[in-house]
Amino acid sequence: MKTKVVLFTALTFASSAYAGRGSSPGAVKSAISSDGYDAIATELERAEHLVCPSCVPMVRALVDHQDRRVRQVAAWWLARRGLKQDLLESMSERLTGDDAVKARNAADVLGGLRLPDAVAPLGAALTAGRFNAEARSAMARAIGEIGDIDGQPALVTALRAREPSVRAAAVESLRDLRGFEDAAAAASLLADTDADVRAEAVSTIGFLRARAGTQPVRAMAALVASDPSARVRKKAAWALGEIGAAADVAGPSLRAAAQHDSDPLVRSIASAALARLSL
Amino acid sequence: MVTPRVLAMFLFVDAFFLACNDTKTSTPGVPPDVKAVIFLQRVARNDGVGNVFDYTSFAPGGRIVKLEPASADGRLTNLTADPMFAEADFMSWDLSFDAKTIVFSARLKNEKRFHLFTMAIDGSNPRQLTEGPADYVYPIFIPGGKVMFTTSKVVEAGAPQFQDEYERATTAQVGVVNLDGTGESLGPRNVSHRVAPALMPDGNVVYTEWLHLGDVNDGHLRVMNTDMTGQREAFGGEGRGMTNSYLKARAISSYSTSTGRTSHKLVAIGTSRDRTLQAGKLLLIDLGDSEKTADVKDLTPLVPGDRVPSQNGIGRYYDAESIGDPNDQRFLVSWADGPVETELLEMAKTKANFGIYVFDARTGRRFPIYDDPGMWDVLARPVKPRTEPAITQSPVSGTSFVVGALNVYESSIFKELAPGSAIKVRMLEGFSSEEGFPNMFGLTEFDGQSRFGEVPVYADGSFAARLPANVPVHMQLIDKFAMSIANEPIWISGRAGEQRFCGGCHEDRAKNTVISPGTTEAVQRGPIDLDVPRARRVSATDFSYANVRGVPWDKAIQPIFDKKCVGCHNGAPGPANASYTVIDKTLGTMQTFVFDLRGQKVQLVVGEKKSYDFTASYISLVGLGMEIGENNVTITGNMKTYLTPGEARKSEVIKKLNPPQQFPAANGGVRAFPGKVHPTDLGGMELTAEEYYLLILNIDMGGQYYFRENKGSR
Repeated sequence: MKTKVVLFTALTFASSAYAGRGSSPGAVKSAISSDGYDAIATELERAEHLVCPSCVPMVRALVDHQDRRVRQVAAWWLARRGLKQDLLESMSERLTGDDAVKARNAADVLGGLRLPDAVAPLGAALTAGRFNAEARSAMARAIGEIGDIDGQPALVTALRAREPSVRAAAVESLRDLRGFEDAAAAASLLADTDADVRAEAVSTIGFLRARAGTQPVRAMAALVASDPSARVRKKAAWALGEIGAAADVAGPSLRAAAQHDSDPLVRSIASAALARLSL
Repeated sequence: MVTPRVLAMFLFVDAFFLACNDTKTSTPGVPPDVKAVIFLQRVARNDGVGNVFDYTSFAPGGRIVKLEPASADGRLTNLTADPMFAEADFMSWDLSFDAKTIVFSARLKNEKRFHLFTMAIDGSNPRQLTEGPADYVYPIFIPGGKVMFTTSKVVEAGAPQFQDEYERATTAQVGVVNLDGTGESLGPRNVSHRVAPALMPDGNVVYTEWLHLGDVNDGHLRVMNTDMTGQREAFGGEGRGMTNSYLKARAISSYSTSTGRTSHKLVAIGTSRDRTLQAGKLLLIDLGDSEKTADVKDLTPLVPGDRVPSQNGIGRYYDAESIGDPNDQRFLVSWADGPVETELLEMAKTKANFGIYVFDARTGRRFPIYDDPGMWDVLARPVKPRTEPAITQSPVSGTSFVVGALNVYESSIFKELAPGSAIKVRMLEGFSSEEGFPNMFGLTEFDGQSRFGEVPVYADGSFAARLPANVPVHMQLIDKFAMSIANEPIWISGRAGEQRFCGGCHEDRAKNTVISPGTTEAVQRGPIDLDVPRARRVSATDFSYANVRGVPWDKAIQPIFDKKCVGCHNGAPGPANASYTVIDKTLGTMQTFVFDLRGQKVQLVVGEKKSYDFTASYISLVGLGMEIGENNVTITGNMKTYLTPGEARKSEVIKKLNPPQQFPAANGGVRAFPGKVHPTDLGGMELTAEEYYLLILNIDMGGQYYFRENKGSR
């Protein structure tokens, strides 16, 4: 008997799905009660077009969930319910308060909404330095997620933050801005004292490819040659190949790294960069 | 009474336990040529792999292992024991043709991205092939000393990578790199994900693509050449489909069809798009002559094809690899028992436990090989050489790709297309929200679109256009009224230098298209050049036929209404402005809508959106559709939708306006529909040819409100 039930289920549900369809208030409630990201995210995606007033308070509570991914999918779903403006205002208000956890969560929600109007309050909170590093890193990340080039001044200011995690998040987010091409901003961190920050700066320059220009080449070649972090050396070698660095500047460092670096992964990436630059 | 099916179930379970008890001394079901297997061990997880297109799930502590012989008492060797791989996660892998090298995708400790690596079969000589702020996943060896993969890196420098249909995840696209890390080349883009490529014996590659155009939302199988050219449908669209998505296809065998073509049999996972940890049924897929004639057999009929929890003893399959004689239908599989469904697993505070088995499809028996509790033992492959197929490729150069058809009237899906009815082919670019669309594109399900232009269909039914390479394009045949009469239901794209000439418009691939006298007019005349740089793919200041790209509702459509329509359709209840009332029983609200083509924004209090994003004219024509959604409402009065997204010809507003002939020359005496022309029938001013065109174009492109030209307006 059980077999028949299973067969029926399999045949009934084996059909094409349509975007944002097929959920129910009960399914949303059940997914939220599981507390698992995957169940919550996929159910809210299916509930994209579901009108469910009783779901709104439940989903609204998720903006303070411990998992950032849940906070963001909650924001996405709430925005589909016409609550964008409401969320923009309430989350922006949090950025003027003094609760760092709520401010961090607000930043994640605003990043998930992708609203250009959120850039100003996020930028103000990021640069004011009132919140801790975790919250301000979230703000920098949110500005990148929104992707509006108006966020660049705040991120550039944050490159001078005292905390390395904030500097790293800011230079990482620069490359997410549509139209960003200022390699010099990222290059200012190539000599940062923190390896994570240097790695992100190198990655942002490499991301620009040929648009990075030639200015950062010398500094990155120096990183390939002597940075204490293998991660940074490897990324710098990659970035030199990616931006099409000049042979006379990049060549010696890349050659030396390809042959003698202590890390085999650095050697392989440097070799590929050399070949790419036809050196 | 015990039914044969239940009896079979008992026998199956019995065989399973017998096999369990038997594994320490023998390896039943394992063919003699499988001396050793390599597989991934990933830390068990419930999230990040629920959606079949997720590719960035990370849980540290994985490894790549070799089991020799392939049995529970075989010797397990960690191939990634080097400290550089400590706390890494391994996403996918492949074995070289000579069985001496492994390529794999891994995210290392302290890194944020998955990258590609190679190492010798014994774990020595590790090399990294890729770097940078993008993920590289699903590597496979392809002929010519190269590796194919999918990546979030963008082929167009400076352009953001597409977001997926829910505008939340960055899509993965195909790419190729040499084994020494040089020569990275990225393929043309789809508007959504491409994942899980696999090499076929003829050198072509099968892969899964998220097909999303309009409200379709499936993961189909497609095929491309080794060099990423020639991307085309294979299974899941036309003909027989069984589940929403087909994932992790692997070749079993090749054969010649009755028409003399080489075709393939595959094994793939058939499953729901979400919640199933990318696991599901085992499907035997025969690609046949074409997508239309492809066939499928369910090897595991008890396994659910959707996202319902699987039963104890039934479970779900994560992947499969054919072993031994293909006719024996034996597979190395990863299988987990019980409810492989993320919500139930989360509630039970447990995780699916995938282990390695041999599955005999002819008997339904499953023989256990290896299972490490707490780890996902997945993607097992036998360690043995295989034949390196020939490279399949197409010339690649320049910045454009050429698309065309020999005869557009050859079609398996547009059967009512009358010869001579198609005047032009409209070429539309697709994109997603990554360009900065915080308000969605409108109230319909369509992606962002922009018009490349239109090219003529010649007397012999041929056409050819030169388009920007690597950009998704969607084609429509349009009639003499400029309206779409055939809407190709997929996005296509091509590499620079690629020339894609189809027999027709989604023609029957099992048939040969015969042209006479051996060439087409489009080929003789050469392709019409529609290739312009990205920066110029936006309407400047005018929306003339020559220059229009997007048709922003507030900038291109509303001025027409303001000039020609709002004198009567002004929201004042009466014969010209039908009204209806929506009583929202879910919300306990009520709202009356009066037909109104003015441009003021409307606040909705039914349907829960409460949005100011759209004007009265847009809501009047498009209707509440998505706004009402699945709500429980009562509607009184005359609620009507005047616009059918993607189909101007079926839209009431177009029928009412009754546009005149536009092509090949304007002719006001020839109308699209019988009957009157509005608003001249009531003494109003008729729309100009350009105004007709803009309204038709907007609707044919999906009836959206936002385009590149007004994405910043809120």
